[in-house]
Amino acid sequence: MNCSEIQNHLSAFLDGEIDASQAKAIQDHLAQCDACRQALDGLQAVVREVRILEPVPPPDDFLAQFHHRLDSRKAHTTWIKRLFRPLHVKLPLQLVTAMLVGGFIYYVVQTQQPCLITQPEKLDAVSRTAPIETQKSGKGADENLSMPLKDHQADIQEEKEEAARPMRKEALKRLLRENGVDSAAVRKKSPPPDNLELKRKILEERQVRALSPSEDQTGAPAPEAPKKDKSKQALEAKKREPAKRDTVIKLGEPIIYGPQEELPQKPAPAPKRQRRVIQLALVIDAPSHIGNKGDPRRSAPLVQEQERIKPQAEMRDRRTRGLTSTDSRETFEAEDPMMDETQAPPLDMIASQEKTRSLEPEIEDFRSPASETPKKRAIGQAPPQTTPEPEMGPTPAEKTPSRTALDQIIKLVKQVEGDVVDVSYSQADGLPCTITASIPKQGSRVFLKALNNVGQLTPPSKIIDTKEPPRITFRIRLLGNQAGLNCD
Amino acid sequence: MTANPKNLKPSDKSDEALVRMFNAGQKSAFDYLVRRHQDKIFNLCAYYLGDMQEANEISQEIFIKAFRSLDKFQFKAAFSTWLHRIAVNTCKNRLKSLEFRFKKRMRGLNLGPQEQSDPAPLQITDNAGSPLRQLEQKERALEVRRTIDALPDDKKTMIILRDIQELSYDEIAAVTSLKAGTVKSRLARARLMLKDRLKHVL
Repeated sequence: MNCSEIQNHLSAFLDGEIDASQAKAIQDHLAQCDACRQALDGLQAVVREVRILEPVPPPDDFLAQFHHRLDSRKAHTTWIKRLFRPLHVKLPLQLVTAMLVGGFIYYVVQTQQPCLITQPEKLDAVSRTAPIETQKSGKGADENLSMPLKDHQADIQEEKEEAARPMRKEALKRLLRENGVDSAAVRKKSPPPDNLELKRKILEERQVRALSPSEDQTGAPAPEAPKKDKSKQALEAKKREPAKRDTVIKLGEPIIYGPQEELPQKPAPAPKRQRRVIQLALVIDAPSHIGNKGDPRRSAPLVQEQERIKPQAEMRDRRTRGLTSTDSRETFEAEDPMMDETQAPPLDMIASQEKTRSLEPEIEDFRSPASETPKKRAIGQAPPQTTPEPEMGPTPAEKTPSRTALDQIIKLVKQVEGDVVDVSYSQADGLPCTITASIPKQGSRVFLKALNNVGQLTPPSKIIDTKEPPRITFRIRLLGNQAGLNCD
Repeated sequence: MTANPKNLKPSDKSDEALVRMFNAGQKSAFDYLVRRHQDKIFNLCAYYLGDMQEANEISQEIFIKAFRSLDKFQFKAAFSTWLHRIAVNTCKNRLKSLEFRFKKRMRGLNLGPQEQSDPAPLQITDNAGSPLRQLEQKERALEVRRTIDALPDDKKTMIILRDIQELSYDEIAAVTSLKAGTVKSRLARARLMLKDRLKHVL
């Protein structure tokens, strides 16, 4: 054995844990090798140093401490054993625990599932369902569409007690049909843009209905329904308000269903709204416009219309009373014979009619008489009432496009339940040049569209957004060669 | 003439006889086993863990484990070997625990009253030599203990079991579940490492 092997066995050699032959060989090697002998001496010194270390005695009360700990542990273990060891305790305990865990998992799964739907999808679900629910319950769209789904379902029972409105149901059904969606598609697969379009159309329908309340004559109890529980509905509207606003603000929906206070049935004060003034310029004698006076086709109906001027007293009486359903009906009755008197338009007029229709797709889609009225006038029919009121300015010596336009605008203002605030006349020639009117927000879109038929409107009519105050003031300045001068 | 084992006092009976008594229902027999082995087990824990309080805690834990599992003792090895196996495993687990590591870092080595700053007055006897000599021996013993405490776990186990507990190679093999040859080589390496680290003392 060489030195390294000898040194590896020195530890066992020191302890006598080596067989005799190996011990003899190591002893012979150590007698000759000083290095290995020094290694053995060093190892012996280390072992001696360790073995002379004093033992560390335990504390005197070691056994007492042991008993104390043993007893405390025993009490603990017996309690656990008593709880788990007997079968009549263990099995029910395991069963109850398993049921609790299962119930908890079920609860977690059930509550987590709705959270997987993102916020916009939630609104879509609400907005998709709302028109369908409205259709089912037979309630007017203008009230139900603004309700959250939850509140709406809570009120279904109450709504069923009210009289059905077949006209509105028909309009909604037709609307859905024209959009190419059935009720299931509206609930499930209607993409958000279509949905917004749907909501916008329903909003338009509501505005048009505000223009023509005479339509509701078929449903006898319907007009009385909103008056029935006004205080109750106002309370409900207050309850619904915060959740509704939260949803709208959170999701940034571009078109919302009008809040309850903005509905014509229930006008409520809106103290925080600011006054909104929209200034418009209306070119009344633009050569390309349909209502151009230079067009020979327009002159004849205008002359005919002038012959149909109504008495000024009646007109004043109407303005003071406001536009009621009866008044509106009278207007239609007055218009219908005029339509009959008109001759069939030539082919180019039909073309222009189609052009006008394409310019007004939303009103066209509804096909309601109220929405068709301004269009028919724009095609070739003169407005039914063109009499300027004496208090608005000097008595007209002759009919000019500006005065005709003034009359048309005044009539439009009345139709949308607005008020003519001021009419300014040119000091130079006495012609009307600026008309200031206060229009309800609901009727402002229709009003702007109808203004397009009176003249060429600049800027374009898409300036009304959803954040407008309930009433908007329009300042319409008439422009053109035949308009008033030096109005400023 | 040998005495009948049944007539012996419990303190005179062998470990195996006391275990049988315990398993037969005489729980007090375990107290004799505790008294007989507490010094060895406590000493092992004190050197293994390097702290008196920890040694007290863990040694009592070792005896509690033995008390609970004594019915599983199969008499294949000596009771002391079986007890040492429990002790080594418990001490190893304690060394690995995060709590022990944190405590050890905060306190350092604490091996009893002889380590205190105010030791008892030295007894001058003929065998003890001069006070300076006694002080040197104490300093050396403290250094050796620190060195052993700083050894890796497996080498510390070998040094403690062989040179402090003075177990035989076979007993060490039984305690550590190693082969005799492995015990030899590991013990040799542990001693060499200790010798290297104690060069300045020796």
